[in-house]
Amino acid sequence: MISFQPTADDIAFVDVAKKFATNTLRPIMREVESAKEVPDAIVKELGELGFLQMEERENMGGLELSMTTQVQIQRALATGDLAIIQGLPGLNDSASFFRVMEDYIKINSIENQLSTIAYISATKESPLPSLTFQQNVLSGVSLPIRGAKIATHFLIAVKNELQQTILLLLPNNVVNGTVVGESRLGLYAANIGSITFEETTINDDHIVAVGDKADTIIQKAEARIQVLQAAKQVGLMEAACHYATEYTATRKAFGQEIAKFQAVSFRIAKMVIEKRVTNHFVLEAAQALDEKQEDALQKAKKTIFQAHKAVKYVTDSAVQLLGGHGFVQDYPVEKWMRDAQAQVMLYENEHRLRLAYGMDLIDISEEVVMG
Amino acid sequence: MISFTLSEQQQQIKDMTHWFAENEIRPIALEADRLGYVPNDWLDKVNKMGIHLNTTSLKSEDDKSGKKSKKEREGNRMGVIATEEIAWGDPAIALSLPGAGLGGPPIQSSGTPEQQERFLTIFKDDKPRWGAYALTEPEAGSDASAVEMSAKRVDGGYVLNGQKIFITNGKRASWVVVFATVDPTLGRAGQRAFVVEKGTPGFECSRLVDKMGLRANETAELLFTDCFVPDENLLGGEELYKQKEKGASGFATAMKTFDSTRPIVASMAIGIARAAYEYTLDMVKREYPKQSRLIHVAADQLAKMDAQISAARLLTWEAAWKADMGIANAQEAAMCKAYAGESALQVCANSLELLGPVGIQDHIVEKLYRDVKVFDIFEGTNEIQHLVIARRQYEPYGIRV
Ligand SMILES: Cc1cc2nc3c(=O)[nH]c(=O)nc-3n(C[C@H](O)[C@H](O)[C@H](O)COP(=O)(O)OP(=O)(O)OC[C@H]3O[C@@H](n4cnc5c(N)ncnc54)[C@H](O)[C@@H]3O)c2cc1C
Repeated sequence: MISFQPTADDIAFVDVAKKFATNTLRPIMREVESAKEVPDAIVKELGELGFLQMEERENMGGLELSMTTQVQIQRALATGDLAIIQGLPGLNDSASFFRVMEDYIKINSIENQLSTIAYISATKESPLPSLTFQQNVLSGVSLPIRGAKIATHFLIAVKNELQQTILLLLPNNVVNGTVVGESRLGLYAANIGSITFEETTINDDHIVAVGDKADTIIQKAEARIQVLQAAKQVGLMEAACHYATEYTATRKAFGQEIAKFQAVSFRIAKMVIEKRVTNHFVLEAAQALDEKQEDALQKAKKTIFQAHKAVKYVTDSAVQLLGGHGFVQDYPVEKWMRDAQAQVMLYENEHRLRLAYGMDLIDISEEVVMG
Repeated sequence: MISFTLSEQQQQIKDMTHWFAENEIRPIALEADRLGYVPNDWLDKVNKMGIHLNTTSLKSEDDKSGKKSKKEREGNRMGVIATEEIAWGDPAIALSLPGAGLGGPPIQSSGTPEQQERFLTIFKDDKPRWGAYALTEPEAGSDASAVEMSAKRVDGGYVLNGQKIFITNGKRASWVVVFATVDPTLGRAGQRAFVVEKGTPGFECSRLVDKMGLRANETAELLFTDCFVPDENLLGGEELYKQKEKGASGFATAMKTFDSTRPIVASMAIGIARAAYEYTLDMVKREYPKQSRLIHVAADQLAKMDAQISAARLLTWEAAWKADMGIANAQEAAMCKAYAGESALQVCANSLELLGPVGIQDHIVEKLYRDVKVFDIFEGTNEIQHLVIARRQYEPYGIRV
């Protein structure tokens, strides 16, 4: 039956997350941006609240929460500061892989609590050369990824010389270097960097899955990642909508609150619609994933490209609505716009995602299009 | 005759400024952003080369002597052509170039000949100097008529009290055109414009603000505490404000300025968009696999970007052409500023998307993206430009939007 009512448990979780976001994360947002790392105390507190291992299976020491619950918590946390959420240690995106690999046991050899596993996707079409994997040798420089600086392990999806997908799990001591550029755009605390491999020889121990099995794992895991990331983007939008509404309700120009100008209030209305729609997509896709619905992967794709479009519009609008104040660092909105832009760049090109989704609608496979 | 071909002289200016942008500005763009300022030795060097940011159309010797020149005026067109190139190099550095900056137009349009001589001729090549324009206050931005800074008449001049915020080059400026009110109850009619010189007692820069972009360019908060400004620094002199029937006021001076500065600001936005677009086009040509569907996505995006840039430029040229012809151009100035400011951000965002994750760090395009947002805000926000345009559309129907 159709219902938008969260469960009592969800409400309780979200309440805790929201309070933490408001009282703890938001006030230190600028400080963390300058330090470019998340303070240990924050990591510890989030760990104690259980928010670092929501996606992990119980047999890995995680909470194994449903997607529906997780997205609500991630959304609430991200209202505090997206950059902090993206800079946390832990399995992060890789957690979704271990969640969908129900028979995978090697992870037990990793001291899960202490591990930060950064995910490198090198199987997709990419304009720039990324990693190559030939005759069990991994070479090249990855595209910039989250968590590069602090990763203890790397989970890598790559194609071999036979165009088979291989999923690898490597400890960071086989890495030849981490190229960490200076991020001046956004998500400063997200430890973004590229990983260099100079002819790293891979042994059987490193291989997690091969071929169709690997493809299936990646598809399922990436769908979860897309929805979880979209949920965080909704959190960021929530912060921006709320801040801009409050600001425009009190800021005066031409003798009245600027909210009374329709150019302002209509924009707020549009921001809120975009945010709400994205949230609905997130919840719908989360439920589809929880219930293993047939079109769950499609729903996830739709969710992330909508979230990309929406988060750019909403954060840009928040800056616009604050006028010159929006552009200066005395107010949070300029940071949110930068963080949003960095976030959408890390999680795939919106137009490409939309095209891929459309191709699926008309039943044209990627291979056909590529000739 | 309708023509969109640059004249020989215009082409020369374009080539020369582009050469300068490419060889002198672009190489230091990322470093200046990191430092948060443009190095002084670089400013000294370009000042000696005679490179200035000029937002005032140049007056020919004929103009100055009052004689009518046979030659068509083209200062505004020259201005937008050159500015696009300089901003292509880097907008924060462009705004930091020595010169009268946004303070030039009000002095040129409302200053007495003596004031024009005194304030506009200081930009020589011995030492870099700047002018600034200070209208915005904490409670008065879009609504310029709400200026609260007070100007109290005293013997021999005025005493200013109040605060100005977000003033470009406000700290380093040799003088600042400052708008204040002699009587807030008079609204717009009570406003006066003053030229306040650096070092005047009671005038100080209280803070420089940190920003999303344009980090190498100085944005200052200015404080005026019992700051005495002599009569000779009242812009236009008392005579100007006696011409009440002509609607003369500091407010009118502030507004008139926009008609010449908005096309300049629009051309900067175009320069930024073009820089991002050209960089991305080059990368797509070099790196995108030709047999992939990614190239289709890129082609679609690039086509849109190219069209946006051309459209913004044509609107800007029209506004500048009208100004050169002496035809009222408030609507065109608002149109080009609104369109260029908004679409330049879209161009930069799309460029970043095409670059993908590599665009996040150490990259000119991410910097341009951070810089460009304010072009939809300063010199009148996008919403205010739309108001200006809509007002003119509805005027014939007797409706004031
Ligand atoms: C980097 C930078 C440099 C600057 N340089 C200078 C300078 O050199 N000199 C100077 O004087 N100023 C300068 N400014 C200030 C700039 O011009 C103002 O910030 C701008 O005019 C907007 O004013 P505000 O910030 O007070 O926004 P507000 O006026 O408070 O506007 C807030 C929002 O309300 C909207 N709004 C307001 N009124 C209406 C309406 N009637 N209808 C619809 N929407 C409306 C605006 O569009 C905006 O979205 C600079 C600003 C920045 C950020």
